[in-house]
Amino acid sequence: MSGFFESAWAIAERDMRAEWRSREIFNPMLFFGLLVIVLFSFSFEPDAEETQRIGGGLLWMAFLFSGMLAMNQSFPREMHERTLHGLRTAPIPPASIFAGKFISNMAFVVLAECVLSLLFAMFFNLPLLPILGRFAAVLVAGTWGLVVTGTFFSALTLHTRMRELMMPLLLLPISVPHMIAAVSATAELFQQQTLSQLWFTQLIGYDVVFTTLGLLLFHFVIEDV
Amino acid sequence: MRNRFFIPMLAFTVVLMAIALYMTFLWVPADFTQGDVQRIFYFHLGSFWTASVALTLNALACLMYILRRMDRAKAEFWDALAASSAEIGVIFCAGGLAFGTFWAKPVWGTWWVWDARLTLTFLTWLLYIAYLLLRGFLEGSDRAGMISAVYGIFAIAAVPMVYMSNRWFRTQHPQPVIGGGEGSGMPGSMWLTVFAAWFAMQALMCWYLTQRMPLERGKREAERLRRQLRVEDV
Repeated sequence: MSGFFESAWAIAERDMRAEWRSREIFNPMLFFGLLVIVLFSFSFEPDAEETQRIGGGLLWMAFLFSGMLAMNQSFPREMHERTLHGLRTAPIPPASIFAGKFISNMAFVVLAECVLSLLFAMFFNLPLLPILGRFAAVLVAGTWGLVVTGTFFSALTLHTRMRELMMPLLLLPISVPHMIAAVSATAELFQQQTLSQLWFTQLIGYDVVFTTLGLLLFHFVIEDV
Repeated sequence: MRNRFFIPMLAFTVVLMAIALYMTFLWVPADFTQGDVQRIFYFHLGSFWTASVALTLNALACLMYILRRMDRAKAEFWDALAASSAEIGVIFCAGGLAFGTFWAKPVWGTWWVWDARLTLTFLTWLLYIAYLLLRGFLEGSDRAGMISAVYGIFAIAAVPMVYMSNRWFRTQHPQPVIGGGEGSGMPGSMWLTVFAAWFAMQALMCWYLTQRMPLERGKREAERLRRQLRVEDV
């Protein structure tokens, strides 16, 4: 089992190092997220009270769309130099490729979300500090489910025509229940400063189910790459 | 492309459909409070029951495809069943939603509400439209069966999630007639009509499956032969 974690970490570390040098995912993702927030705020022009009510939804839409940019490129990047073929023939469990990709995507997306949340709190004058711990918990649990399905679908759509269109078409409907829970939990945090057990449990449930399915089914997806 | 099931199954379906329509519009008495508009209910419920059967079949076929992937003939059978049953599921789910909106307009005064049960059904419908789109975009690929089977398993796993995310929504939808608590029952004639409509739709589904599955398998065969030709050309 140690081989699993070691190889997953090796893949994640390589991805993070490549990203540190090129910043070809993080910068566009951050900029795109910022654009979504700006566009939404112009479309709705929320006042202070409204921001607390719709802020959760606004923030998660920005996270979802910008996160999709990172996840969409996750596996196709491995096709240029046929590095995925190399990974697949390496003596490592196939699920560890998925786990490694998941870890690096999670790092990119969470980092971008932290910056976006700060900017969001600043623009809309939302006091994040008193709810910081609970907000971070919702952020991580919400992002986990999103990234786990997104990373999986990035591999799943490798062989489809119009791949970049197909990935969001698969990801969006499946992440609706997860988004409902994340948005509701965040809205409740903004409005009442409390974290609902119900929504949080649902976020964790989704994370557990789809992480398990992803790890179990991943080797079928890359069987003959 | 017709096969030996075409005429007998079609005849059977037409007879059952005629009986169901007769029972719905002429035989069963109109509902006391809602009047004639309640008659939509029989096909509304029948559509959803048929869609549920079809989507369950799809999940089963996706799972069986993965388990039987080494045996090409069996794998192709399960793949064809998965494709055909998803189509049936999407069609009947759309039918059920459409019948529901026709009923909702006169009774609730609105075509649609974002109510728990409606949202659940709508999202399930979207999940399987995505499944069909995926199959379309995979056409010609030798990985089509496996990729769509894996997505099928993700989709069925998401259905209970959708259900849970909806449990605290306010519901405007009538309570279930089965086990819906006191005062939720229906008279026997209405029950008979519900089952007549459901059986007719189920027969329609079976007829479609017997026609669509050989077509899907033929398509896969043609794709394989084409790939083989391409390899030999090179």
